[in-house]
Amino acid sequence: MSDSPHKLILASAGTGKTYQLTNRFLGLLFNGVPPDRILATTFTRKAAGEILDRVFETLVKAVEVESECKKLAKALDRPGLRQSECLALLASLTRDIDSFRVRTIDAFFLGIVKLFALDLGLPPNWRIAGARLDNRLRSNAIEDALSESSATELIELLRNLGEGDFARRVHQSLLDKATELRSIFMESAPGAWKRLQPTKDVTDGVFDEALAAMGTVDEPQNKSGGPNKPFKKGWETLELSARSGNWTDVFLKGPSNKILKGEHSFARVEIPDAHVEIIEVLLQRATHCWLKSLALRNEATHSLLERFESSYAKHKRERGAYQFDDLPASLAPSGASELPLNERELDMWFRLDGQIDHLLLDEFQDTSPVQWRILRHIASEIVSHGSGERTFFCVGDLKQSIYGFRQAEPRLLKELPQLLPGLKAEKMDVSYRSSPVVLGVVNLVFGNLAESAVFAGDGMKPYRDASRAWQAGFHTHTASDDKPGAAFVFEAQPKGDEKKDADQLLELTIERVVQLTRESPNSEIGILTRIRRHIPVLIARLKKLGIHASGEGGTELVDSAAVLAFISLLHLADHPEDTAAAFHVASSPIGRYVGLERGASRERQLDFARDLRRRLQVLGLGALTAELARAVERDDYWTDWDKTRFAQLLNEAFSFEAEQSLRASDFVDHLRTKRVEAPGGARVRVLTIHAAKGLEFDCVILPELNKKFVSTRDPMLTDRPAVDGLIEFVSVAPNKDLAVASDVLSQQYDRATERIVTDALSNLYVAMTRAALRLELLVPNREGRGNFTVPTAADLILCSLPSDEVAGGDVGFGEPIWCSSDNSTKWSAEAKASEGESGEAPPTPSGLGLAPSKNLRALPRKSASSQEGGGTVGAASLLGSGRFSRRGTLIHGWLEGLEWIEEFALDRDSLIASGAPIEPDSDSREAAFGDLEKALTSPQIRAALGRDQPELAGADRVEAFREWPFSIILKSETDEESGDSLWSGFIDRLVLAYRGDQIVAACVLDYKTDRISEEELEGRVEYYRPQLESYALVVAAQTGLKPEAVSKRLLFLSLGRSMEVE
Amino acid sequence: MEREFLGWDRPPLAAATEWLQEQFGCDLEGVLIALPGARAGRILSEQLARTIGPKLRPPTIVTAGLASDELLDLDGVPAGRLVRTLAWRTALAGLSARDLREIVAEPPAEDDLVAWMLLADEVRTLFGEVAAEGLDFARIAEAKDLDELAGERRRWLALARAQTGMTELVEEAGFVDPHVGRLRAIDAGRTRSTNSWRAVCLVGVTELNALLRRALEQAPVPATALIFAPSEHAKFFDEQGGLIPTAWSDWRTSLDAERQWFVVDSPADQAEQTARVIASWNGMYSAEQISLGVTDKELSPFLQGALAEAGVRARDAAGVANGRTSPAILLAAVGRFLSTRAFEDFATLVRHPDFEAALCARAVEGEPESAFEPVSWVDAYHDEHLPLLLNGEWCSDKSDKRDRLLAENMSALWTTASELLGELMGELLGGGATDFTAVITSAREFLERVYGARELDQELESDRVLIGALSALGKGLTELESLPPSLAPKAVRGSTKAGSKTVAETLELLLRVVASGQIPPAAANLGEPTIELLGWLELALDDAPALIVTGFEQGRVPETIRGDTYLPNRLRQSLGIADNDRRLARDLYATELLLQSREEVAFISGRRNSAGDPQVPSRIIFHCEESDVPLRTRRFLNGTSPRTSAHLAGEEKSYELPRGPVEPKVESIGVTSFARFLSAPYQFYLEKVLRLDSTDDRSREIQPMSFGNLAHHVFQAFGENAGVRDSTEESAIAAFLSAELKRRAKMHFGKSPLPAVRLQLEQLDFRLRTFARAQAERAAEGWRIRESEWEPSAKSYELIVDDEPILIRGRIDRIDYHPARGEWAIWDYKIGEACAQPLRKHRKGSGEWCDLQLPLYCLLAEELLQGAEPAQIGFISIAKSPKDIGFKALKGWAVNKQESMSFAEGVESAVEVARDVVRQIRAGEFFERRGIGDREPIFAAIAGVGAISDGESTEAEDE
Ligand code: SF4
Repeated sequence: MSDSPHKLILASAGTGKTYQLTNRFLGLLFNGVPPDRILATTFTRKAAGEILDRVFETLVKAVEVESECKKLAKALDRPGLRQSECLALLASLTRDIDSFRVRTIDAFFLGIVKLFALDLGLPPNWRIAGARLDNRLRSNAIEDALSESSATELIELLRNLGEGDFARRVHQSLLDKATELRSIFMESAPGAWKRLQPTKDVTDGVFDEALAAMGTVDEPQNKSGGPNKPFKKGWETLELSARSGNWTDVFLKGPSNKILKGEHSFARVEIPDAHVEIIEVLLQRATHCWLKSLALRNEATHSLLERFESSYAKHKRERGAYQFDDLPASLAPSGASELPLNERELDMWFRLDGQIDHLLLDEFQDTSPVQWRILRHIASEIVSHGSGERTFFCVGDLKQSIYGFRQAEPRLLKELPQLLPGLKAEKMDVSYRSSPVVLGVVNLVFGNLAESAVFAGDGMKPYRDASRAWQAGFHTHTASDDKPGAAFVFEAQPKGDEKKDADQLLELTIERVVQLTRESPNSEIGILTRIRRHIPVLIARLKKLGIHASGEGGTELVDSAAVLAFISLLHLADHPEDTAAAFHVASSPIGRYVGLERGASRERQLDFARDLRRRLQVLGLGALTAELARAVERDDYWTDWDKTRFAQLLNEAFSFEAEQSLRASDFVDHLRTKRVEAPGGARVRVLTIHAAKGLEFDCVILPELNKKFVSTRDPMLTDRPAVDGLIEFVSVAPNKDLAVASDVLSQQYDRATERIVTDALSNLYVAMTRAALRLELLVPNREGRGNFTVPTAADLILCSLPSDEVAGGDVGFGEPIWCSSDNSTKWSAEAKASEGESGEAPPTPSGLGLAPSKNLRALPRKSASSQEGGGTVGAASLLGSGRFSRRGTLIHGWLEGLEWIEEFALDRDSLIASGAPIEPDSDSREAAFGDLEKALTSPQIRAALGRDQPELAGADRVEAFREWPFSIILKSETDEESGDSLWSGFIDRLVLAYRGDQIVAACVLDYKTDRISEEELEGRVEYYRPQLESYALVVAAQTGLKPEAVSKRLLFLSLGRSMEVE
Repeated sequence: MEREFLGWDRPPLAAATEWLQEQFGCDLEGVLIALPGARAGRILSEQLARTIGPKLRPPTIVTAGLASDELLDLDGVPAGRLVRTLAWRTALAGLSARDLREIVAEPPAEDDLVAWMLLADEVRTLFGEVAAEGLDFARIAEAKDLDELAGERRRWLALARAQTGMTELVEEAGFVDPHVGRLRAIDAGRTRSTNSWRAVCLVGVTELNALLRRALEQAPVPATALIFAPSEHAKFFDEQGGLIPTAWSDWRTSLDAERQWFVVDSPADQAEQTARVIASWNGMYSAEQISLGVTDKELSPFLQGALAEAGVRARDAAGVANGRTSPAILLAAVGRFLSTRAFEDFATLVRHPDFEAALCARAVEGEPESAFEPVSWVDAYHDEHLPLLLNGEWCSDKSDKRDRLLAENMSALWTTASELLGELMGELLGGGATDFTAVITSAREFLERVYGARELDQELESDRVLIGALSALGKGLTELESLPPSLAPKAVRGSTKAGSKTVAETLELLLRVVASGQIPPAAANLGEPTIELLGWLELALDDAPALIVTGFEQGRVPETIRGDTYLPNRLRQSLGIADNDRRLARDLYATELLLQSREEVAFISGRRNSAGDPQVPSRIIFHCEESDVPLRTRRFLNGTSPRTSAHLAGEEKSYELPRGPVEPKVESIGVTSFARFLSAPYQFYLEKVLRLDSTDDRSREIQPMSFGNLAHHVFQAFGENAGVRDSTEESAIAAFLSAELKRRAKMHFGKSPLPAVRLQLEQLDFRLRTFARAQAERAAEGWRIRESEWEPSAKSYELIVDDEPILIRGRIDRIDYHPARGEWAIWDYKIGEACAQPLRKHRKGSGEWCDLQLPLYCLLAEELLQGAEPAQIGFISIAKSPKDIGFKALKGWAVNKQESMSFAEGVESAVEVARDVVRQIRAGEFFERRGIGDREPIFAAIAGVGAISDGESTEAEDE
């Protein structure tokens, strides 16, 4: 192996990043490192799963095929590696499969936070909450911020946020703002938001003088010597603007604008020095005032965020509802130099059950600074260990950094060798994925980036800087083998009157897919977009043409009519007055399933909604949806697509059930935002470039090259000087033309532009390098182009092609305007049938073919006491105070000690004491004891409990059993159908009479502690009759007596009555 | 202790029953039988009853976890869980600040009962686990493993001090902590007197905690461990029948992977595979002879769905959690509402079916004719008045009859709701002290008011669940009532807020007390084939001959501890607490027992869970001959077979736009509706013809429509006020508009609307003031407001289209007159965000008409203008940007320089378009999807937007 055990691999697209990482992993395992000592992290759960699969896949292959073993031996630099060793390792790893630590960074952090939650100051009920609750908490936080501030303060704030407008939307726009800017706020150093300060002002005297002078300076003249009217007008307007404090116009209009831009003439005449002097004064004042207002906006924004954050944190704490984003911040609070764990002398490895010796970081360019601040503690611990027993390994590609919007900081990868001295860097530029033809285009476009004419213009410096820096990380790509390939550029039709570029390109895309699927029906085609919203449009259009395309990363389920009707159904449940939803439901087959007819009256509609709410509550969302899903599945009205999507909806309903609330709309919100991947396996896939990362296709079509490099800008300018540090400068981003007025801002502005361009270049690079064999670039119609003030990817591509190879003028529809000279038609033979489609799942059996049921799995269980009253129960009695039943239990317990009344002595103190577990309140115990004492004075009661029982006369002996247990199977008397039941329980008191060993009679006694009146007595006896009859059946079965021979008696203790049950 | 090896070639509990009968005959009274789980106990008791018959004298059957209690003499009354939790809470809160911070860096606020209870729960559970192994916190603090870990040791010491505090508190309250009691009993050798039991049997108990082991050692009666394994495997079991982990670590299962193990992708696939396996048994088994093992609760609904598909009920032994029952959800909603008093939470509360029903029932009791529509009312009220808090005051626009009625309804609703909530509300309304026990009483009364009158039928499923739920709550209430005073939560005295907090917290406490329980599923009945769903731990002793285990995946079987807050695996190992090795041994044994004792067993592993995360199979699969490992690995790697969708291709079915049941005849059209028809005929049909309306009560601020209406009202008042409408004083106009806005806003939104409202009103005020300047200038030019909200005397204009009249309805916002010039001007206030521009609003760049409002105004105004052409016509733009606020008069109809179109020609052309629209409407030409955007989600949904794409793209920002 190499000199340093710590490695940084800079791997271009398709060069086998994962392969490297897997080999590294395997190398460690072969060296005997236990899997739980290795942490491999990546950014998606899918990728994490793939790493683990690859480790096993490689081993299995090596075990199965000798040559694979040799290959592995070579890759791992372990000459002589034998298949048996691979098998042994495989066997031991699979048996220990639980101990692998391959996961997403988020999951790793979550794991740590879980172990240290209380130590990190999280509340005891903390958890990762769903988006719905989080939205509500954020909304509440905004409302708090709104109610806590004074109106004037807020007006000021709104005005400052909204550039002086009186916008209607307040809640939503502040919420959006706070949500958007929160990550910047959390990551900014104290004072960062105040960094932008107004420049020096001129004194009022100087300014007034300049104003006064405006009317007196001589006007410049035309070449002809006449007065220059436009200049005059511009000058007058400037004066007006300056007097009224309209600084924007001072910057953006007239001669002052020219001076600001560093130009010297206006309206075709040189601006005279006297004018320039005045203008400079005006500009100085304007700049000062404008920056002052900008500073105010920064402050207003900051204070909004501050209020929002403090209230949001409070709400999160109260509800224990956190988001993944909160975790890194709690592990490594911004600004803290130590991890809080270290400060508390806690050892992460101890609670994690073992130290991580080897760190394998995948896709390092996607790491964010806050993530790095945690990782670096582990990484530096490892790197500084020095023994070689702990290693660091990291793979990434600057050129594939496209997650800036998720706070990824590619500079971390760039500066890693400085951040973590001792790394050995390696570069990989040989692609195992793409054909030489595809790579040829990649090299063409990116190899000369910095010199491209597209970026040559004035004011394009940030583009040039960005492309230069980008190109520095690019090395000519070569292909590992000589796959055939093809590359084309197609041009959209000339624009019609109304049609936009985007529509033209959409049509071209469809046309290309149709052609390609015809040409090479087996190849996998990836259509990579930058905008997610275009995906369903494309899929739907292709579907119309009979081409099945699937998305990746999923789309919202609302692309099915059945799902839409279901959504209306839930909406109606929650909003009974919604006539539109009712109409929708009723006019869809769903209406039939749920029994809502068209043209229902309002009353009927309200009733229906009410009933639906009840069913949702009783059945649960999942079960209700399942019923509908079955109906949808059976109904020929729906397309296969609807059925598939509805089945997926059902999955969502099942998973959502735990969060289900009283508001059915909550699930609607969930459905409208949750993306669900439609069943894949289609040859044609439409997906965003972001989602395509890590994937490859035989053929890639890029339909959105018309997008500008810089189309949207961040609302804020930020600067993070130290890559692992905090943001040190934040300001609201001004209009581009205004930014020139301030050096600081124009500098920040250019940097922001650079970042955006870098990101766009990476996007293009990722997109192009997804192609294994064939690449198709679709550009908008070239008519009327050629000026690159807002360059697009198409511009860049067209410029980088050798101009003599590009067809000019009209080419026929469907003809390329450029094709690579190395194109080969053999590429389509290379494209193999993907495995997925052949492996169609066997059909689900329509029935289970069960044998008919003979008897029940478990017998119904009956307890005699549940028989009382015959099956219905008043809800109020269930809620009743427990005092009463505790009294009964106490008295029953005491009576357990009574064999024959004649010998029974009531030991007051010990009995009362013994009741404490049942009734903690001693007064109640005393009272209960009093009740019992009194009852036992009743002659009827005494007679029933005495040795001398008239019914049992004639027996040799009698025996009294207390709490007689039984567990017995009985046939139902009343109901032949219901068959056997298992009866079990205890009989309060059973007296058996024997003649010899033979039981000749039995008496069942049940104590009742109800407080009842004499009038109620008869009724109660009837009430308890079923219970006593059951006891009699049990005793009869046990003793072999006829049920009639078992006498039954109820003792109503509070009345002192003993009642025979006939 | 004796060991009996009963083999494993038949269902375990049948073997146990036989052995017990041989041993004891019919009389098992006085025999203590311990099994690993409650369900196994029930099966055994049934088998005994079946085998032995009526003569059976039943034994005492307990779970292994509680067996030690039957053997030991606890010497005191064991404290229940709630008492112990409260004691832990008090003990923790009583620690020194330093000690407490060792356990929790940011201790909950003193009055945060719920947070404290959660913390106490955590510590209590931890103590239970530790104590079962004969340890306590102080002993753990001494562990060698902690020698280098100062922070960890300090924490255990702090916990030990809390333990001492807890023990004392429990004893002061007259109880003993059962764990402490057991430890003491063991140490003192206090076993139950001999006459309690005559024999003890452990049936299939392969995991014995230290406490049980020691209790058994001390037990004065003969004890036997029944082991379900052949005696030749005796070396895998210790002398008490427990598994010896080291012996098992090399065990090879007899699993036939080809036949008995399936790897599929998603939860839905697992359910499908389950059905396939059952079908493959070809009718060998009836439903009740099959059990389904579910290691992952999330799979349960999928399995239930797949079986229901085939007409088989899946009976999930887990039942319904108490916390998910209707009354529990109701109490949670009440608690939530009482703690926030937010209207939003009230709107949620009235959506609870039981609460709603109770409200309506009360209303009918009071005044039979006034039916309550609580949900409709709260929605309407929210829509109109955007309330934040609910305080019993209702605003309404006095001049609006509908609004007045709404306020009356809300007031009645509120009164009834307050009655229903009763004392729970008291604090909210009045303030003052709240007593913990008083809240409990009020909670019971509340539930009685909602549910009390119902007669519930055991046989009805929904009633059965309700019976369970209410009994649990009843018990929970009683438990709270009878708390020893020393441990009961203290009353929070003082403010209203504190009062409602007590209520909310007490309810939450009640819910937590009942939450852990569940209501078992309804019993199976013969008419309905039923398959039982069982948890993994219940499978070993289950008695069904055929079994499918789903979710046979890593981390589930066996459960693995990889890191722990208190007891990481390594610490467990050295302390002798159940660790990963023991769990592995347990599950290896269980798997083998299943394989050996059942006729059919199948295991299913999924590659992805319901969240889509990858998973790998259980390690147990790989406890096989080494040579089998590659094949098994291969199978799991191939397990991800994404479900293909080839059948999804094909022509898209055309989606027909739904029609109303009858097509109502259109007799009149509003002037502004034409624009709707022109842009989106189908939406016009839904909105104007069928008069459908969509509502959503969740906006948190004034919506555009209400914002506009509010402004319109102010302008109307302005136009009608002779004193100020002709003023040329900007300040006078501004003052009037401002005051009018305030007056209306106060009436409309009351004292506490949603926080955004206050700001929105300020924003509107600014717009009005900006308008005041323009208005003053205009008045100065000599223009006078002549009419405001004017409509023709016939209320509409009759337009003749194809000899048939149609009424054009409309009101003109404002008509100005310039007396000096004798000129008219027609204005429409446009309250929106962007600048309203008359020409652009009416005609597209291509010249096509897209709105007809102003031209049709001219028709309406004919009566007033007497044929005169208005000198000015246009919009008064009340936009967000000050520069866009003011009078925007139409400067001719021409869309480009080439076009020449006089004013009258323009009007005429527009009227022609209007006629055309009328013709189309009469012909019913609505059914075109054009123009329906996704602004109104339900309308879009009706039109199938999203589901059926016309493939129109729109430019938008990148991701
Ligand atoms: S800790 Fe254990 S014994 Fe104690 S209540 Fe909880 S489960 Fe029961």
